[in-house]
Amino acid sequence: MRTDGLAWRRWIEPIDAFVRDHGRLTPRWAVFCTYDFEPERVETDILPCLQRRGRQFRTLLLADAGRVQERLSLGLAPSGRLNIHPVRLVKGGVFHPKLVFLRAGHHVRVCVGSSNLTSGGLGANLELWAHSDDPEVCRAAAFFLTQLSDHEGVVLDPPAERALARALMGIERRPSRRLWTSLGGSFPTHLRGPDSGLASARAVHIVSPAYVSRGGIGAVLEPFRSRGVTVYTDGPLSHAEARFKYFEPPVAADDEDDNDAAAPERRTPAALHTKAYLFEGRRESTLWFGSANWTVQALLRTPNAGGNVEVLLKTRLGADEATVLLGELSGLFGASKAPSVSRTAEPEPQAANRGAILSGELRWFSGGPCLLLHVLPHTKSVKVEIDGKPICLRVSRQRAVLPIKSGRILTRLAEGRNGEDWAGLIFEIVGADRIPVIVNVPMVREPEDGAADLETAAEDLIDEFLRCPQSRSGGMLCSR
Amino acid sequence: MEAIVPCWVEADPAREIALDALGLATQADRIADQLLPGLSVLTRRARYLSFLSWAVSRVPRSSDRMKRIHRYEAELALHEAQFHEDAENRCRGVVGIRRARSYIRDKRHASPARPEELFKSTALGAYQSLLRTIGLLSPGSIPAVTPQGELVAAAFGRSARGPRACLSQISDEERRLLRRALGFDRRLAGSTGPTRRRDTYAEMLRRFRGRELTPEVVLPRYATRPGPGSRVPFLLHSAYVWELLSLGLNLAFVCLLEELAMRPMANRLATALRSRPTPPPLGLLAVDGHSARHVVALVRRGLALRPRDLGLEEGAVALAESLFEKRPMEFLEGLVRRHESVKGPEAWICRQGASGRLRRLAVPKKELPTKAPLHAYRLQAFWELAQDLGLWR
Repeated sequence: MRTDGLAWRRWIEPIDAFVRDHGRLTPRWAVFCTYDFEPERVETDILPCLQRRGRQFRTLLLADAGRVQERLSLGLAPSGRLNIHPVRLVKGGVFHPKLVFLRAGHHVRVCVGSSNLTSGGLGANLELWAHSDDPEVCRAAAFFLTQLSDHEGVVLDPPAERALARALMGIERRPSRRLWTSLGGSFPTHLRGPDSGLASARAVHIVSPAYVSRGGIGAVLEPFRSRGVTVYTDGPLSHAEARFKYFEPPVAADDEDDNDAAAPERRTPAALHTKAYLFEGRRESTLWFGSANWTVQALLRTPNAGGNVEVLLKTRLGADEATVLLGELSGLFGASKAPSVSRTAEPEPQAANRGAILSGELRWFSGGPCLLLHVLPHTKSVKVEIDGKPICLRVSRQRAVLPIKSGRILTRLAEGRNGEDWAGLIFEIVGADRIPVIVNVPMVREPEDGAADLETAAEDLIDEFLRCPQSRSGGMLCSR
Repeated sequence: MEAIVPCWVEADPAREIALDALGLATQADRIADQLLPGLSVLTRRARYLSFLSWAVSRVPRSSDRMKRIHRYEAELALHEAQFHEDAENRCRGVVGIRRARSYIRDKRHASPARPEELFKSTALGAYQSLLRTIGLLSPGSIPAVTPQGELVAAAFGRSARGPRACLSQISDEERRLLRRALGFDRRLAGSTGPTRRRDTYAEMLRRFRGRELTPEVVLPRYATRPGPGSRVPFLLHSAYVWELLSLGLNLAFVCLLEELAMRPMANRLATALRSRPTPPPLGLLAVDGHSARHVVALVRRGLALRPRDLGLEEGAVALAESLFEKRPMEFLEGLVRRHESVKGPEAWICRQGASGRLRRLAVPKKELPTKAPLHAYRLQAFWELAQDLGLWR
């Protein structure tokens, strides 16, 4: 850490560096877990980095189903080698982790923080972000992704489960005390274990947007109550048992009006979106940071009890480093008076998914390409709109199939893996509503009857090897 | 256990000044990528390619390498400012020229001790993607010249005395090498990038010889759909249709930005929808009494050319269609929703209750637009580059 506080880095830098350093190895996978995303930012800022110099990463975007529907309601699906998978929670929480899992051959990198894939997350808000190649953290992140497929409170569509299984093939998965996820229990339960840093803390500092309700403050203070608690926030919160400091965005310096070209100058973050829990010890402090807001739904409840899916990563700070960080927080949270209204960057995450269709994928049967829709249990029929035409489909075993004979959107996708777009959009009709449904050209094909998963994995690997010019000219074909 | 050090997330400086309110530039960029791959609106001077190859080849690998390259760039800008002191517009596209001119004026021609501190943005930043694409710099984060780049650097070194060169005085040898690198040498077979650039050049030469290439001049010539098999005319026709739509949508948005209310604009649009206004010529459109009529005419003309069949962005087309299929108020609400979605927390305006009033939010560092512009499709940059290479005489 620098003497004047944490460094400022672009969100994409650790991803960019990983692609540059290890991108020649196969298989290449990038898995993004996020609550929210902006299709335009994904297309212009993230995908180009993962497709540089022919090193195409198979990219999965797992996002909260309600946000996917909201974001795609404008008809904007990102173009490129990307599959989007909406994630639903059975008990009403939201899918809220912000985690990136990168894999090239046997190299793995995990990025964790508070950033969604939105303009705010990529720099307009105050966000914390970190990456790690540590095997323990990578194993824990792989374990978390596996748990997503297995957890009874989380609903993933089958193509996402297939793709995750393939992305993690050959990678060790094991939980770690350093990475907390709400799939394994609530945060206070995790803190009761050894090494969490809370037991030896003399003070607790909490940084979070002010999403917690007045009635909930007592509950979310409870795990930290025996220590002096300071809350760094951005809304009109108060409680007798904690000190509150309020976010005051730094004032931007005057622009130099240099029209020669873009002058690189740091933007002052306009809104608070960081979520961090610093347990200040005498000689050493522990910092937990990631996606979990200081709310009941994020910290105290598991997805089976109506909570969110959240991730926090632990790191140790020396006494000097903790002092520097606290000094920096004092500078950013300089307002002594509570703001009259909340200045939070986004509304509090709420479950808002609708409709019965999870997602669609393109399949190639002997009769040609078909649209296969994955549907929630107990649904008998669904109505969809494709290129303005309504079509009613019967559902059998949570699937509805439609042969693709015409339709501009689907025929474009039917170019398959050789096409430019790997995700398109149709609409489910529910009453008077049109609900967007993502249709993917799947990253991993479903094994045909009798074919083993390993067989299709080998086919895919050869396919990937032949596509990449670097691989052909001497790169390694490596998988562990 | 590896120590994990978190960082604050820094905004991408290039995003700061993006004034694309409705996210319509992405589609325009996609078309431009196919028309003129590798080029950007900043790559306007051919001699920067040879100069930067020379600068990179001259500076040894060290920690202050970028700083030393920047120093060469600043010396070139100072030389240009001095050389063209009497005719300021004679040498265009020089990075940092404004700062260099004011320095020369203020300091009465004294040389600065650290020229690289004159301005922050570097020419290498603007040109390095193109330099890599055409094979003068090798891939990788640290700039290094390729054997082909060495040839170009040597040609620059022979014709200029160090960094004190003029971008307009490009030698024949540099021209020849750069034409080959960019794919304009017809004797050489090229891969996709050079072939696309050459096809676009051939089309431009055939139809616009001697004229300055601007979207206002070029795009209206592609108002009718070309026959099958003609890739460049097809792309330019797509660009024409896209400009009709995006100009209409952007003009409607600029009107909202000025008035901060949707109701008056909705009423004017309703009146315009009852008539058959003619579209204005493509170009920069300011808000005036005819804006609503212009919006209706542009969008109607764009939709008549079947944008969905051209593969243009679905969301924008659906938004444009809503002007005719729904009430104008719903169209304007869709416009604001799209702006909010594209800009996220950086949105300039948002809806205020159900009254149709709008509220101004954060304002970016640069001024908000008051006019609806055309997208450039890199045509002007290409024209200037072609002029430098002697391709446009």
